[in-house]
Amino acid sequence: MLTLRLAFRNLFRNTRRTLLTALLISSSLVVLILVDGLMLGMTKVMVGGITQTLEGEAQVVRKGFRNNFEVEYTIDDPTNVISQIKESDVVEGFGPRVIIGGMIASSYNTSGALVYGVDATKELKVSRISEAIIEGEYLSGKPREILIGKPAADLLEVELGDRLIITAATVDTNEITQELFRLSGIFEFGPEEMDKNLVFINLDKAQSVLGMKGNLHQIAVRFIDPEDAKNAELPLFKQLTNEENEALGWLDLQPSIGAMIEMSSYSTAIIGTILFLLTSLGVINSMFMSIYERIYEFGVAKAIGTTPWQIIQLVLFEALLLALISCAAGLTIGYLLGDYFSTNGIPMGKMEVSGVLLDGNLYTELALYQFVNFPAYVTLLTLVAAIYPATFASRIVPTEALQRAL
Amino acid sequence: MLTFQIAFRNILRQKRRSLLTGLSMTGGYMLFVLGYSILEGSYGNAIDIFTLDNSGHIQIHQDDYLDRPKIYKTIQNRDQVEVALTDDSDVKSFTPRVFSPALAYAGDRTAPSRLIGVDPDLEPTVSRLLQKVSKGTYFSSLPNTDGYYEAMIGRGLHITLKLEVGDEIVLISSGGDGSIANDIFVVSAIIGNKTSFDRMAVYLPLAAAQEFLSLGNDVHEYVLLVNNKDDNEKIANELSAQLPELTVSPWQKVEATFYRTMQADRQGNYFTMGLIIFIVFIGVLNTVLMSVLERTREFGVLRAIGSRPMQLVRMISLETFVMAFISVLVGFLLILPIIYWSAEVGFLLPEPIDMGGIKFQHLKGEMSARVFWIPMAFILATAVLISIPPGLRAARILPKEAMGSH
Repeated sequence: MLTLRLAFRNLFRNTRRTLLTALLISSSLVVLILVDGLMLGMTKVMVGGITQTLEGEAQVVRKGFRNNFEVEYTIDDPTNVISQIKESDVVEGFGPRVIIGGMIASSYNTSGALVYGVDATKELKVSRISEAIIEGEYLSGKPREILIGKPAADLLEVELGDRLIITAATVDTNEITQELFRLSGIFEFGPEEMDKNLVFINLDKAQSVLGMKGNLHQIAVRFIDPEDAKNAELPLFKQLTNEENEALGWLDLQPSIGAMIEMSSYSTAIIGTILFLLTSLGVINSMFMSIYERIYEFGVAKAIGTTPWQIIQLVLFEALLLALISCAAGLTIGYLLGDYFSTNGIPMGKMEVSGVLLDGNLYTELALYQFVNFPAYVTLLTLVAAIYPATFASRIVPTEALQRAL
Repeated sequence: MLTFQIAFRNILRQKRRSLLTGLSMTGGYMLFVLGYSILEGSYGNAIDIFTLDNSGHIQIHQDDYLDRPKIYKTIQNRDQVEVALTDDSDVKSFTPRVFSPALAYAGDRTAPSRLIGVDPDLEPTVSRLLQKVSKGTYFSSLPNTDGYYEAMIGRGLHITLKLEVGDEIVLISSGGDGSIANDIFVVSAIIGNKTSFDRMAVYLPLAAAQEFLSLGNDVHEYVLLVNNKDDNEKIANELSAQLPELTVSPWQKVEATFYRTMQADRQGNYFTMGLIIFIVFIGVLNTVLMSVLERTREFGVLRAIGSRPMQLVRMISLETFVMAFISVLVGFLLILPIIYWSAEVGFLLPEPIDMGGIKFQHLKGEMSARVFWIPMAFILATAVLISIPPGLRAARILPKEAMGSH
């Protein structure tokens, strides 16, 4: 206890120096919390953008379908797959779909399109198609309904109610078929690629036009607990994956998002390492200065029988107290700033990353581990940095020290 | 000169403190340079890749063809355009292109595709089409012995249509005069990979495409490279004045989504950069203030033996400057190979990241003078500025008081 009291007093004998060092340590903690919060915020938007917009948190597809969206890769035994998904208690909702490439033509222009046949009601629980509608109505199940994106509508020069013709090859016979639709809704997801190319029609219409007789290309799944999607070992995935079909979470479906997340944690780690290096240099520097000033004291202490281990303890205690004070300050400032940026956001422009539109401000995210793990690291680091000055102090030879100070 | 000598000696006298102070500044400098280099670098590289892969530096179209491509919006006065481009000494090379969506058939398979007609001789001077041939041979402008024109197809079409080099491909589209266009072509090469922007493209020799689409001698686009890519917006404006009836767009307009994303991402990066600069600043503040404030007693002695206040301030600033200069010099030598590596090789991402439609596979740094000198100037200036107030304080202090303190 005596050591602790001594350490506390020593620390405040030169308050200015202690504050300067504490400023450095707490700033590192603040920067760490903010950088990590920024990365978390970014990740959340990216993952939300991918899983909520259209792709779902997980998908069941025929093996090989994802390579090139080839029409004949339909899900094997779809009725059985659907009943298994329905029975599962982790699933919030699912959307059966057919996806086919074709051409879409108006009276004025033609364009390529990726046509999605979707189940209007089931889709509500999986994707945001209905929320993306900016003009007209979402699908209601009437056969001639069709939804296209705003840029596609501009390109084709069509308005609600205008005629659109989809040309595609049927799945069973590969004959070219054409079907007339009437524009019932215009959507805007944000990412240009999606708004230009995607077309939504009703599932049963798509199946009958394309000769698919109840077959499906994709079932998008939304879980009750979003974390389930990241679990590759999830029993439902195992259960639905067989010789023919595969069931995958978004991490496997969108490896580029996974790479993004990995890259952000890398950059946090790199920034963290350099911050720690800078901080430990500062700590070593400050500890040494305080020891130099007290060489005489240490000499006396040694002369009256203080053991080197006790001196090491003393210096380490000083470092520990310094770290704790800094962490308290750092956590407070980190929380205040983090909180500010998580409600007000960091102003950014419009950007599209991996098919996700980020618009406006980017909000940082606060997380518990930032306030538990990071201060623990910082404290540990300060202690490690203090080992060198501490051993230096413990090796002070009383005779030399007393002489020098005289 | 005396001040200089004293300053130097002071640095060497306290080797451990100088080393620790110096290392903090070196670390700060390296962190700053690395952050800056990567912030500036990743885009410069990506811009080169896509401008050379596809968009060129400047494109010329009729009207709003860029936003609303229509088969009849063609450039008719080709001679006038080509004369203007040939005469402009800023223009390195140019090539004409025509486009149309088309349905591609092979056997009983079909796929929507994008027809791109290019001049087989001029195209390689602008884009990397020739280098992207992954199978087969680059096409020629003349029909083969059976009278069929050659076509090159993207990797996606190769997979979907199961087409090999030498196979026949049938294209159906609508011609510029409203007629139905259909013809047979022979695949001479497969282009790019599964993620290329042209994975679903069919390249035809310009003459064949013009004939197929009944366009006569008209084209939809001129793509050009300029000698100095940073000037492309200025050159686009000049060309626009010369060719008033056509629309001249720099790549910033052609790839607007990417450009917007890039600007926004930079904005976000500036926030991170701000945090880095802040911590570097705190680090410099900490070390400089500490090393000056700790030496009050020493300055008292100097004052007692007759140093004038201004001399002291000069000495302290000079000392700090020399310290900081040596530190950034060491930092420069240490970071140089790392920046060189990051500019030449770069960090390989596990999966390419799509930024506004442009794929990133490598995270690269920028190697340029500003990446090194701006952080250098920042650290030198901060260090010297921070050393002035405590220097003034030291200079004003009474010798008696100063020597009485630690």
